[in-house]
Amino acid sequence: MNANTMPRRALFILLPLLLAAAVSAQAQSTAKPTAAGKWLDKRGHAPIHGDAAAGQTKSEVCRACHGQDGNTPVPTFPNLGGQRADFLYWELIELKHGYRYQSPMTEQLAPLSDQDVRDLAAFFASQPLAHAHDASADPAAIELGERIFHSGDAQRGVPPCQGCHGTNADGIAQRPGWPILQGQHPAYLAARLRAYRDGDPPNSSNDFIMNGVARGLDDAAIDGLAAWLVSRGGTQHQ
Amino acid sequence: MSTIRLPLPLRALPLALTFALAPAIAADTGVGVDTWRANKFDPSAGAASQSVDHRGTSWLRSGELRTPTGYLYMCPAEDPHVDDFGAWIGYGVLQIGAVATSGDDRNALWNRYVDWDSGLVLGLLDYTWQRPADGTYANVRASRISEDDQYYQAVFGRAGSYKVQAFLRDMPNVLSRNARSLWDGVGSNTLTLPAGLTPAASTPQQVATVIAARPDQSLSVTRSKQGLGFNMYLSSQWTAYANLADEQRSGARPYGGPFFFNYPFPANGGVLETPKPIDDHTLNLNAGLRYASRSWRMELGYSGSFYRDRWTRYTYQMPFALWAVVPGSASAPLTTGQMAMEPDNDYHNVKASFTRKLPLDGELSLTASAGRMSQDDTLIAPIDCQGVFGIGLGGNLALGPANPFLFDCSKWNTPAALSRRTADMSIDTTLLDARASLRPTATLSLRGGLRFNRDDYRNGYLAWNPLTGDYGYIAENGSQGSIVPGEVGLFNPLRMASNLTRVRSMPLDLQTIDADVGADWRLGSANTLGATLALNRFEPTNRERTRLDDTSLKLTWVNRTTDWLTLRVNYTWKDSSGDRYNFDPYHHFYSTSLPGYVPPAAGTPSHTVEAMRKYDLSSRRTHKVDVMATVMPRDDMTISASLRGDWNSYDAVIGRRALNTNSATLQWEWQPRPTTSLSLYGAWDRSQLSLSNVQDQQAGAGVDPSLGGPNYALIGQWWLRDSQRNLYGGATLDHRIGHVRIDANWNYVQSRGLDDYSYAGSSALAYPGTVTGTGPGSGGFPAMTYRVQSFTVGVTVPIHQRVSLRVFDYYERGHVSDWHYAGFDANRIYDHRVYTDGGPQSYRANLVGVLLNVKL
Repeated sequence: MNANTMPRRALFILLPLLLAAAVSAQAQSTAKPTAAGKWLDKRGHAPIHGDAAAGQTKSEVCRACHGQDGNTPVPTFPNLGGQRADFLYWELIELKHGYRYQSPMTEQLAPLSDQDVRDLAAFFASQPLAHAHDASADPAAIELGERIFHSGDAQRGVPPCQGCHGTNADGIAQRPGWPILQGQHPAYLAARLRAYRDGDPPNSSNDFIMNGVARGLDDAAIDGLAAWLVSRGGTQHQ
Repeated sequence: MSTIRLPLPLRALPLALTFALAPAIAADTGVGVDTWRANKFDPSAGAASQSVDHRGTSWLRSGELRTPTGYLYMCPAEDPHVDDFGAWIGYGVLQIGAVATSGDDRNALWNRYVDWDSGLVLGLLDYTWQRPADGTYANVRASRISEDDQYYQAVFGRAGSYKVQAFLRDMPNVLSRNARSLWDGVGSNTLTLPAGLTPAASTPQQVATVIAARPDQSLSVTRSKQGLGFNMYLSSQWTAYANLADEQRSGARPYGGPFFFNYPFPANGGVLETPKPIDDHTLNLNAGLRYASRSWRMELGYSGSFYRDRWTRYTYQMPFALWAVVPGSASAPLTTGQMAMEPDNDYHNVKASFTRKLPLDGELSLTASAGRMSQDDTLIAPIDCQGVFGIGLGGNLALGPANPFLFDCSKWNTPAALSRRTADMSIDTTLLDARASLRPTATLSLRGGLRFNRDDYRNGYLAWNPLTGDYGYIAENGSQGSIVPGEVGLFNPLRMASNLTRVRSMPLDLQTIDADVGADWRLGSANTLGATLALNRFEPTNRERTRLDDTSLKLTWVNRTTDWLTLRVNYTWKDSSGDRYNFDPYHHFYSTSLPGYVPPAAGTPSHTVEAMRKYDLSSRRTHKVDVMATVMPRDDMTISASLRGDWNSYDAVIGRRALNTNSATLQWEWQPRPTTSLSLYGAWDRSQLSLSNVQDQQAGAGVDPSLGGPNYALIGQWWLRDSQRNLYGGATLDHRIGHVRIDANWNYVQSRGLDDYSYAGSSALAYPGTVTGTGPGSGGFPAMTYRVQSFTVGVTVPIHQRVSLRVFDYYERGHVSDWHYAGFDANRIYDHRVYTDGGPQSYRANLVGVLLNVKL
């Protein structure tokens, strides 16, 4: 290299570095700790098997909050009855191993073995799906929810929910790890969707999907989806 | 037009305009302006240096995803660190560091398309701003390896609305690092001999002394390009685009410089390898409108290209004296040769295409385009000489009837010696294309197309000198006529009535009509069969045939019987034939067509041997077979293999007789984890070209064109087999241990070319005296080999959440064996032959570098 041109060339290269450093110093980092955070990988697992009868005997504590058949009258707790066993199992594992920040469920699941969790999942899956209804729902909200569920909202980048949760929100046979949504408590559904939308740190690989999906939902859309889903009632999943 | 390279600040004007004009205009990715920005330092344009996202490819499923043909997708890169600037967010990467080269680091092959230079480098600066509220974005991207190897790009736009981009790019092409130019003025259009050498009066020894004292110098051509592009949505259905790019080339490259044969005329003639100046620029422009609805698509577009060369010619001084082969005669000294540069060219093309959806899931497309290429350069004088040229009989260089082989330079070194002053040439192109496809059932698809294309040459040139009344082009800068009486390249009905010489330009009008029909039929879920019948008619003008028909049938079979295997088999049969082959369609372009031509007493020499069949118009039969298998033994592994054969048999006794190519490839890819990938690659191909020709025996005045006749006697026939074999190998490893990333890469290329020949008799050879006897024989040229291996090893260590350090080493070893350049290390002057380029050299070179990778 020509010694005379060296300082000029060095300046040329250092200048963008200094500019970039200045820009970075001014910027407020909003990076979310998703890449380095703790999350459970729920992809690609073999189907789980559990003993529903054994699960019933182990479910006494659960039934106090989630109802005798897994369907609770408390609107902020999820219904478990008729849900998919694989989905329930992996949700419980997520809670048991503390992936969900400061959840009271973690302590309660701590003493259970993996087989216990499988049995519990099998038991609640064998129960009837909830028949929750919300008579106060606005028909316009239900219509909005149905439209988003089936068609999404292209302008906001929201894909149709039915792609992963089934045409009638009753799940997809090939995806046992993804939940049935119909008949779920609207308050619980709305709370979960708002948490996804507002960027709660993901606890599992599925949360990464939902964070992206819910990012374009406003409050009206979330309430509409919850209203439509509960209006679907519940039918026993086969 | 001058093409002086603009200083960087001026060339950056489009970049500045990008931001200034952005709000007024807008986006479509259909037409790009050199959208790929990369260099040899990082051919992946930044992708290779990005850390792989260890979370995998998709949240929806585990494992890696595959392309439709079964190959594994690469894992995506890690999320960037996003900074918040209020309404805007921003992210990017900066790679900055230093490299050091060692070994044979001046070698031209090592520096091909890159200008390695030890010192600081800006590997990559890539920063993006986005305003999520409305999708507005901006991006800057830059890399700088050296003064001649750098790029800068700026993009601004709004998603779904508009996009503006601008760029600057310099790319070097080092052609020689061991050139020794005899001439001063390299890079200019005037090459002069250095002090101590006298034009047309120097000896090879004097020239060799000068060359030996010259240091090795570099010959390279740098491309500097800048561009500006606009894309915009006018409505949800209409888009508009306009792109402008200007590229300058500057530098010099080894070229030619004829002064007639030297091999058959020892101590005479001249074969000069001159450094040709390169100083031109090309402006490319395209603009148009696109329309897309559910049932219609339409495009109206214009493209233009404007080439301008700074020079119309370059001249070089001739060091050696010429002498006439006729005893007692004198040859006028010729001191200067000239070479025309590429002519300025204007190209315009307008195109309209319409596509309509049809019932049965079908589509019909119609395209029409028309264009014109035109050249109107000022023509250069036929020769650059002073005084006289040619041969003076009896040693007398006085012009007059007694000296019919001597010519007056003043009547040839001026544009007044031309039949017109400018080129005034153009070629019109016409294209009509129609294509249709239908899918009458879920398992059957049909397609067909018809295409018509014409190239029409407008105007021609008759080489006629109004000052002398002579026709023709002066051969070899006048040297041929200064060595052999009468071979000046001219015809005159009064003075040179029997001279056979070219007198006109040759328009090569061409019309082609292509038609094809095809069908694909899915048999169950595992098999797909396809067939395509294509007919192509070529109708060239002023060629050996007026019509050539290609008929081809291609059969395809795709099998997916098992989940782990995709098998594809193609077979193509093709037959080419046409009307009668006329071995000499060129009568109109030679003096034989002019009034006053008088055939020599023994007759006019034949143009070539009657049995000659030029390969592009020869009848031939082709068979092609492709077998490709993609095997997926595991979800994280792919093995692909292919076998290919392409066999061409030509109906020719003289000319190309066969061209056969066979090849095989094998590739293995394994991605056990998102952060680990390995691959191996190997390929082999071999092609053999067989041709034959016949040496004329200078018998019967060369009149009889028949093979086996007195001139083209069978004893003069020879055969050549050119064999080319290539081997390729490669291996890659990318693995992360903890937070440390290790990457390694090996590439191997070996190419070997061999020419074997045989001959019916020694008179088939240019130098019969070099072999023993007069009978048949055979031989071969030494093998030409090219072998390059390269290794890269890199380690990337994170030293901060946003900062990592990459240390890498790139080692390359090349071995070149080309007998054409044998001995050039010691000598570049052989009699009257002057070689500038020392030829490709074997090398071992290394590049070690440290790069600081900062996530901005």
